[in-house]
Amino acid sequence: MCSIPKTTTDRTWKPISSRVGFLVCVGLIWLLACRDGGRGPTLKAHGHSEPQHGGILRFSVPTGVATLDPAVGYDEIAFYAIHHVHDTLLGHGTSAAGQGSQLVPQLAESWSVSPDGTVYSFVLRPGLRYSDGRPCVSGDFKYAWERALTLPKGPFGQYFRNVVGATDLMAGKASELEGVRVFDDRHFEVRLVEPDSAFPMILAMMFTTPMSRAHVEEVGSDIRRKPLGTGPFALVRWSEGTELVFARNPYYWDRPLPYLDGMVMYTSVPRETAFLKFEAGELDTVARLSSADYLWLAERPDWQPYTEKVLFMNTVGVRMNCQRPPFDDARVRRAMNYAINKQHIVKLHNGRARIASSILPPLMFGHNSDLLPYPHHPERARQLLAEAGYPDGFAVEYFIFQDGPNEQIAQSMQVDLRRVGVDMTIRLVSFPTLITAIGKPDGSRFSFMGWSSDYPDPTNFIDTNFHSRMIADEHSNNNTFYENPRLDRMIDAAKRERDAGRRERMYRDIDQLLHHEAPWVWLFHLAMVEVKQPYVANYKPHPIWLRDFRAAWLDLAPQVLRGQR
Amino acid sequence: MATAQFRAWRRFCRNRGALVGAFLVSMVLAMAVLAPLLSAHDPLSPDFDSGLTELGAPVEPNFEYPLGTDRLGRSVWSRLVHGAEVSLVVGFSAVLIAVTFGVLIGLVAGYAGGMVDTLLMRLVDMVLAFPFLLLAILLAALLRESAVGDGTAKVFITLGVVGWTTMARVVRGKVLTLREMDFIESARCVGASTARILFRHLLPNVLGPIAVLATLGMAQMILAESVLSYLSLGPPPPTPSWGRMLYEGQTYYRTAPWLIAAPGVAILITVIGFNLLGEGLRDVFDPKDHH
Repeated sequence: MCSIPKTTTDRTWKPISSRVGFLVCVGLIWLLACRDGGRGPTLKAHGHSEPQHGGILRFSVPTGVATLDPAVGYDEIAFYAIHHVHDTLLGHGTSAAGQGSQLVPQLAESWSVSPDGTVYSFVLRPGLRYSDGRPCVSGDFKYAWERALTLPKGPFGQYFRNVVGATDLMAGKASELEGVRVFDDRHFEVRLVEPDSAFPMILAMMFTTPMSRAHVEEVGSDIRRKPLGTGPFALVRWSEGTELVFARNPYYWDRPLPYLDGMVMYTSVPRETAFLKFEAGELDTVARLSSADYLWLAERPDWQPYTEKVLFMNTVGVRMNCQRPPFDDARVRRAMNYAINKQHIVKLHNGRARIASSILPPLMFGHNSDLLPYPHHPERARQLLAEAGYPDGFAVEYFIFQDGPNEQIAQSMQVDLRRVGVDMTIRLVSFPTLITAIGKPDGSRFSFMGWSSDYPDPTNFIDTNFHSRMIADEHSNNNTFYENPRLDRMIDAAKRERDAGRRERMYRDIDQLLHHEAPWVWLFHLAMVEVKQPYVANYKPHPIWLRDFRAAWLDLAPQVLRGQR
Repeated sequence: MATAQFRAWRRFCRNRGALVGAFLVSMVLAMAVLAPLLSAHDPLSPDFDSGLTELGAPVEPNFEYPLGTDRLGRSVWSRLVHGAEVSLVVGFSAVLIAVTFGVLIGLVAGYAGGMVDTLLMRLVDMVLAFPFLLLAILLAALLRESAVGDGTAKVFITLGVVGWTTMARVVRGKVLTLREMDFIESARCVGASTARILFRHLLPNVLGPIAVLATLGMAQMILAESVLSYLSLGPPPPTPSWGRMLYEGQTYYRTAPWLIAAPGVAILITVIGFNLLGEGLRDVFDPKDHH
């Protein structure tokens, strides 16, 4: 018989009783949590008929904010903050008024285009000021644009390529942006190399906001956290990792907006936590709910009137490398479109999506509404695969990153593809790895792909993703490596066309061609669901900016509004 | 010898904890072996019609799905019983690797002594200096990108390679006392080879503690597999691993609590079962501890 040295075994194994105790505690907490039937809204709307001034609106985001420099920030979270601090020449109208994707003048009082479509003239509103009282003048636009184009690694140069002198400026061959001529403090013009009907849309992008040279030079490299803008709010405090606090801009041009005294944007709050905080009344609005929270909400009739589902401009699909077998054959790509059951995928998104038929989303100018999505038709898929020389299918690796139901969708696709003989393995990678892997010709052949609009014009979806000019060896924008001279010609012609009706028809044709050529498996357009407290008035998720609180106000009793912090 | 075995058996039968442990372990074992008979549904194939509601919510436990369905409309019961197989295979293979490494190193270190012993034991100290899970996570993340084995093999290789140290220490300690005993001395005198002494004379005498540690190790490895799977470092989807089921269901604690209750209880029962059995075995093999 042997004896075991007590010391070793004790140290490693004895805490079993405490482990059991811990598990029992966790179980009890869980049982208690399950008993919680959930609260309905605690504070009701007061019932004011006119917008009320005052109050602080609170919302949260799941990550930190990378930067508040409009010439650098290029992600959704940074946009939420930048958008409220910086206004642009043109804008998109507020969503509550139902004019979300319509272009309206903001800092510009008026604008005109020359008959040949290459010269845009702008008149600024009189008395424009930054949030610290400094005047905002035409030269500030020119300065901000030159700055955005010359910043090392600035992401926005591509949008200004068509402005006269922009490529020289970016290449360091010129010291100023030749195509922008400033006449006086309120008048300036922009000259383009060739006509581009989408150019006004670019002037609604946040990087085109004016910046005060004096301020930028004053704060130096601190510009990342010390923005100065002409938008409805000004940044008061940024506690990195915790919150950004904004106060209303007293010099805002669009009086009486904003109605709110300020906003708090809590950062790094996970989605599930955000929803619990919202239920507890600690947040005024919450968006992008997890599947579980959305399902839970769907069963609560008391929250239904305050839940808003908005289809915003995006398309999600599976991108295929069209230059590498087996996806170099359009029949294989079409087979993939027939093989995958999109109805199932929409169900995995709990109905918060609409099946896509091609690249342009339904609200987009040029979207071809006559196109029907590829039906789920495994027989047809097998037949196409056989015609293309793959009667027994093939093996392929599918690259995705972890987000929402991505993994479940991949598993559903795996089952669908197995039915047509395609053996798909799932490769879960981080988002940056995915971006690198899809941007080079010998990278991933088959991967998740989504595109959200930077500005609501088809050029943003089509030129960037499918023009052969956008093919590169590294970080290729055209990451399907699809090359078709006919499509290139159609894209270039549509971009130059100035007659809206003709232009729309051209894009419908392009949409149809892409549907048929199928460089992607067209999956769905995602809807954004946002739920707000009953007292948040005049606010809806915005189809472009997603979140825009300029015109929102809090319908609370005056004493509650005053008592709010 | 027969009486000693009989006494040990009687001690085991009188140990209530050990009996409960044995019962729980055999239940899980039966579940794993009989999985295809116990489950009416394929654990891997989604059911988008009767397995999910109109809105795509998991279906609560009903006659067709005794433990409800998951995010993809798959039967939680089917995944649970097939998951038992995954857990046991991973646990057993990991323990096998750990025992092989640990016993070999322990035997050699204990018997050789001197420089060899010092070197090997410092290696053990080095591995032990890292928290077990941290090292396992690191290794799993490294292995994930490599071509070593399939998803399940990667997990048990990781756990086995990390988890051998306690075994090596215990075996070495035991050998240190055994090698001074007369029967080893006599074996050496009659010219038995080192290998023969190690495996014919020393090994049978350390089998007791090995059995105990291996049983307790099963519990630790199964728990560790759940942790790795929970961190997406386990067998890749759609393999029905309990840890992964827990991970996939965690956000549904209000809408579909069965998604975490089922794998949670399964892990709890299995780990408690192996722990009780292991502690029972220790009492059986350790008369000094027994009153």
